[in-house]
Amino acid sequence: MRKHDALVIGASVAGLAAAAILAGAGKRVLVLEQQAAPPEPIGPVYALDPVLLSQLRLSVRGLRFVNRDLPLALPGIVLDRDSYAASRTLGSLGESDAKAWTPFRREVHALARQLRRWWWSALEEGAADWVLERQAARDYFARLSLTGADAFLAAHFQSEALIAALLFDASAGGFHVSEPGSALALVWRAAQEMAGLEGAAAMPVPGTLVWSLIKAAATADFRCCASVTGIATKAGVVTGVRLATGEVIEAPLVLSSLSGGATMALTGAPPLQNRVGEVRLLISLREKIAFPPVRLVLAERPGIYADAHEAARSGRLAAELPMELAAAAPDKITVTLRPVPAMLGKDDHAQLAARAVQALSRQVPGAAALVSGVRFMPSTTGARATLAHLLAPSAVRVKTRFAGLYLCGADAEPLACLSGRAARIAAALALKDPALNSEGSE
Amino acid sequence: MRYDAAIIGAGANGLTAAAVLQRAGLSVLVIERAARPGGRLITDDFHPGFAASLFADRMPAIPVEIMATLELAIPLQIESPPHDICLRRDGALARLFAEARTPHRRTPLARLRRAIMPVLPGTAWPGQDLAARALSDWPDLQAWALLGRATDPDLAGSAMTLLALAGAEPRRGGLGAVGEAFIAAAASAPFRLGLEASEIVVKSGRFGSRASGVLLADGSHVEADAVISTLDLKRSALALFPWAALPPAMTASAAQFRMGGGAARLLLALKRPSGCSAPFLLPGDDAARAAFRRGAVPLQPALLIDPVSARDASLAPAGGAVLTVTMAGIPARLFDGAWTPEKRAQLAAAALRRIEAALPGTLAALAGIRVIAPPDMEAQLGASEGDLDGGQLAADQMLGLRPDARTMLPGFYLGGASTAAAPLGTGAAGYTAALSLLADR
Repeated sequence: MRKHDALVIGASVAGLAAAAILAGAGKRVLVLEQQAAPPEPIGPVYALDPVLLSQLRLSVRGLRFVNRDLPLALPGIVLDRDSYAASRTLGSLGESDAKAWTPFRREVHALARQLRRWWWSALEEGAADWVLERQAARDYFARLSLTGADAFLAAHFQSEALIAALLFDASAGGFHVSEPGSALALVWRAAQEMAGLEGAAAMPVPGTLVWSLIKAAATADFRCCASVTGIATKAGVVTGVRLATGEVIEAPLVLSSLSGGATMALTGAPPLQNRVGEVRLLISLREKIAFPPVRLVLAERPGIYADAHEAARSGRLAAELPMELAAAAPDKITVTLRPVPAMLGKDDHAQLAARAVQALSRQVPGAAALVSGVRFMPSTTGARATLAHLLAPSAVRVKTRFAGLYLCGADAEPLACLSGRAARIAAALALKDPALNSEGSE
Repeated sequence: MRYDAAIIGAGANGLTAAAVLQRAGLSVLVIERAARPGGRLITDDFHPGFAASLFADRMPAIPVEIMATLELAIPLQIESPPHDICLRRDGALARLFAEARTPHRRTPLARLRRAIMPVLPGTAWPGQDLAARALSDWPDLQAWALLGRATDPDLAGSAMTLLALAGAEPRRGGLGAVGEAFIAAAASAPFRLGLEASEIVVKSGRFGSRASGVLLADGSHVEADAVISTLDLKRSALALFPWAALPPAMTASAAQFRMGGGAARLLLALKRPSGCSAPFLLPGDDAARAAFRRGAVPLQPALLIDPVSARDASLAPAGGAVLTVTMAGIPARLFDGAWTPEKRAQLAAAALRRIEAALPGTLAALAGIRVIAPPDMEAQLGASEGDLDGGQLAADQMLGLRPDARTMLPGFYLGGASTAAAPLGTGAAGYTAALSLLADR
């Protein structure tokens, strides 16, 4: 008799979701969390997986949203989901961009519609060719996969400010915005928007996302303050994990919500070099401020993405960093900055906090005087997404070279996001894993 | 799988029990209905940037045995009593504490009496529950009895808090820092979070019945050889067992056990320093005690006002301050229905008026406020009637006269606030329950 059918590393949103699905299927799951309590994610959730939402009945279990659809914005301009309203506000940037907006939306969404089937049927095996059923679409994607996001956008728009704001989504997952294929990131993001929860980014009421997931995963066991220092493997098969205390916990399945690089490092494989990541911080204010319900991207010109990327690869913070501001509550603002080096020191944190507060007070005058605290969320850095990664079947990204070891974190998505879809796929594959059924589970 | 022990509640007691049993090589499962372990040892932001320990500011000190067994390393500030009542020269009270903590002995009333008599010469004893007011000849003793909890000095039994060990709090981070140390000590035990224990399964065999597991709110069954409940006596005995599963004598004694009445808390975030540096008590009036008995919202209860950020700067941002107000004798159930937002506001407004009179300028500096009423304590901590002491600290409910860790039902142990060891130290009840369980194996 074994004690646990599966171990989940990290009680993050993805870890809790995977634990909830496995526990719901009657498996004995143990969640290992490094902190004293499941940490609360901060900031907007990108396209929370709707299948997960209904499968785990999260809204019945208390998930509430402050805002379910945060449109992208740049200073003075809100890119509303109604493309005609957006193009009207774009008039201030120039007539040609205002005219180009609607065709651009239409084009990206036409491509996204092709990818959407692939998003929904994530569990089906096979490559992407059946997804792109028409030859014309396949050719178009082949061309896109050779195009950088900045070139793709420059073909549509003239305003640098608009291009720079749109590039923010393309820079997720460590993409260099001029890299061939990064244009696909924009399309992937649009597909997420179309298939995800109503809009691109939703802002849950603080605390409710973790609470509803914990209710969903209630039959799973938790170990708090348990830091995993190694994943034990034998002949390419996972046998369990080692904790910092020296204890070994055995299980035939391990689902890791850490990044791919960190997970592989735990198995003893040489660590992957991933040098570019993002950082997210939460600014608490003493008083409520008026912040519009948008994701406000601050990036003045497209060039700063390339500069910041170069700096991040050499381990430095660039002089200018693109950042995204959104309100989690009237007195809480979350700021996402990228690209930054994956490893950040204490001084870097202080500098990033100062920059974020400065940027906030430029948007909302007087906000700097109200700041009462800044909290950092551990940066979600991962293996850099590649084009092959983007179009590979989900199973490829979720599985690792060790049998029984699955990635369920945001990192197993082509673009790092908190959607929970990778957790759903990993849990579904884990449930079919022969290791789970071969030994008697009773 | 079958666990050696299931522990209900992941507060200090539950975590201590889990850690002790784990170290003895038993397999343990901790069941907690909140999303995070820690029980009342939780510090949270109640207003952006302002944090406070939600349910209490101080706790009974952590006994040395627990500090050592769990290898806790928390820098605590412990207020030592004015007279060395915990360790009298003749050793009476110290011996009493030692015995109350040993699992195998029930301390008779005579010992309790012998211990307390030298402290309070000439006081009628027993026969009436001592009120702290009766200590007016020993002002420092009286202050000590009232410190840390907002006990009404006129409330019968309030002097009994003298028998609890010294109050303590961590130097930084509020009680949440202590909670995290306890969680880390019990880290090798699995928790089940977000799931309430709904029933303790009793199996009858050839040698009588014994506890054999816990049913959870979702219908799943945790099998265990023994169950430790860290809930209070009333909840443990009257709500967790199927009808007639317990010996009638145990049910009757649980039904007769008196809860001491609830407390409410106000957490105030101030934009500038509060102007006081030490906690002080505003005594309640007769109308408040009458209101408590009637089940109405008392407008002038005893208030303990504590400038917690003056001792622990990590709780408030620079330039700000956190005041906590603990109100004693607040009924958990009102005669005219539920604790509506209006009644909470009424309670808070009355308290704020009195604080403004005592500390002028508080209202003008107020940035945020949070009200924690007895039903919130009951809902979040599972404390019956919002009583964090787990039962009135009256003479007939103190020390050896409180329930023992071992109960009449084999395999079922009490490790919560109602037990004899509980007032003697944080985690002491869980520690005693774990030792009793180990002794019985």
